[in-house]
Amino acid sequence: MTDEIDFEVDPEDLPSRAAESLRGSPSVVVDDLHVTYKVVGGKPAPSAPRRGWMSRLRPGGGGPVGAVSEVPAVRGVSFVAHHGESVGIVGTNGSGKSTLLRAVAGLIPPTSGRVFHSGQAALLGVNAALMRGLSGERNIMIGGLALGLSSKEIRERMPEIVDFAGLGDFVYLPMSAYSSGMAARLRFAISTMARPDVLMIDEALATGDAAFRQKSKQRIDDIREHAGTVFFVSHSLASVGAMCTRIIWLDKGQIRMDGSVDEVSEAYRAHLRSASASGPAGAVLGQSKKPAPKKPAPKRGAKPAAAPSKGTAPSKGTAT
Amino acid sequence: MLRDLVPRPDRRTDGYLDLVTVPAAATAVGPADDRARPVTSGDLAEIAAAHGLAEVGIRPRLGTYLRDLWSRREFIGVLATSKAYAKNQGSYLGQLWTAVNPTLNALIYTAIFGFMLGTRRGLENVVAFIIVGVFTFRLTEQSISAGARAIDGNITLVRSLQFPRAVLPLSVTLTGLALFVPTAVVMLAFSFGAGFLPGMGSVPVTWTWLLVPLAVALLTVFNTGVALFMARLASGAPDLVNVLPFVTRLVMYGSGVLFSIEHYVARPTWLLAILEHQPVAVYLRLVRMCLLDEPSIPFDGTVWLWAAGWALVALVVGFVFFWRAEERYGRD
Repeated sequence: MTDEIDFEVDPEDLPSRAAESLRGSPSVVVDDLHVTYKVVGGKPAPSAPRRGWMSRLRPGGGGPVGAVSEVPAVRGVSFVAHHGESVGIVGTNGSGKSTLLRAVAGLIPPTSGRVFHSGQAALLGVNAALMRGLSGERNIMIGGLALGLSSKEIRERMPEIVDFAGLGDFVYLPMSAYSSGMAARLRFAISTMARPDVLMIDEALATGDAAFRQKSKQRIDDIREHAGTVFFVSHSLASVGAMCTRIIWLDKGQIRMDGSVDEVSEAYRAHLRSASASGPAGAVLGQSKKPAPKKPAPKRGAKPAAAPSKGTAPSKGTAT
Repeated sequence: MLRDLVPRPDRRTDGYLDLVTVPAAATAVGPADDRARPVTSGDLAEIAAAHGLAEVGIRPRLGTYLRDLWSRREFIGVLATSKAYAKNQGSYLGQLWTAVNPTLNALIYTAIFGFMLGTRRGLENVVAFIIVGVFTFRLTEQSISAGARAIDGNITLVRSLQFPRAVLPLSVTLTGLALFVPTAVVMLAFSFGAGFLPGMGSVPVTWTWLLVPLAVALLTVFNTGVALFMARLASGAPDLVNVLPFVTRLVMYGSGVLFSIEHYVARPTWLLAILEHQPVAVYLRLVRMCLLDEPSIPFDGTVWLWAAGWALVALVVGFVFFWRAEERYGRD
């Protein structure tokens, strides 16, 4: 998972509302998606039962040798997104937003469940650095080729991309010399170079300045107008509200709510208020000693997003 | 499929599918109706199929994969040259190091085996033998270790963009080859120069030197297969990187990089046969018989056959082995 940093967008930089555009046919279908990370080298939680030193040395024994923890990041998510839609994904740190995004983009293989979409997906995230040792120009070339453009096309569009990212002569320096804002702008410019069918944005816009946010907003709208689908992960309800036509609220790897911007942001805000009053909650990891359950989440029977599910996800009624 | 597009009476309460079929009609985007009949996994798959959506993250067929890979050949090349360039970036001598590094290495071998140690090891020119052996072996060694790091070392790229993952091990091999070109020039120069050392047999430039590029090409095909194989092996087993130095060292001694195998392993004959016909030894012999004038390494057509055969086997096995896990790369 990425380091999640709370970037906050100044609400006044952004229009208060995303333009409602006509929603087309489905472009992304996610069917009971589970993603479980295997983390090698963790130590067992102190709460785990202690074992003898012999068994602790054995791989999988929970000691310094062969410690493997399983982190269920996404636990049974289903939804359908449409062409021309811009879907915001909100949730607290560690709720599985970034993982969900990557899995939907086809970049992290799902542990179980299936994802369908209608063509090329591109993801840009805070940590999606390309090659730090190489110049911006090389990175544009590599990124463009990876997206399936030809080198001729990329060379033709190079000035436009450099201009969009506002790099100037920095484009000839290695990316390690860039400020974080420059790198974020470059990543955004690269990811949108091919006008992807599905664009996934992981907090990336928060790093730019106001002028760049305006430019990137235009480019996102452009993608949506060309029947693309945009996913947008952020902590900031202001930026989600400005960019999106729909919000999915993730909580501990499951969809807690899925609906219009007004509905969900109101409920989420209420949840945050009550959460900050009651203090932080911890997460519990599964230890690999147990055979990994195929579906770690309480069985949801592959229901879509906010279909009422027993017990696990309080539906709107309780949330609002 | 069609029945999903036409709302039927028994599905009247199913707001979800109505949304799918009548997209413009709905203002609420999510499923709103709590009394909805749950939409099953099968429904979702049907929706996807009805709208021509392709499943993400499933392994393409081998033919499609090869075509995909072919269409990304430019990507492989740019990635390879960029990596080769980046390797020596950040030092004042910069790209000069690609030539300085092998020169220093060759100087050390010349000093030690040409002047300090008196061993001949049953060879006419032990210095040229070792220089050719070490530099050629480095190329394979690099493919093994860099191939093992091909996925994990580029994990940010893997997790940001979709492309056939075989691009990575392939570019790794090409990077090795690009860095080998200056090394090869140093190798040829020092091998020739070693002929003038006191007490060493001469290393004449003959027409067989022209065959060296062909030998290196076959070796590169073999190395590509090895890199593909290692990339899959190491992507799910991070511990392998710790074992690799021992494996490559074993291969080095078992292939006669620093000495002639037949001079040291005369018996049992089956062991000698295995050691002489295993791929790394075959390629070392191939390059040496083109470059050196050693009576114990005569020019031999069957070595070419062995080399071509190993190259083909390694490439096919490595590629299929890598492709069969295509959908799993990038997971922790």
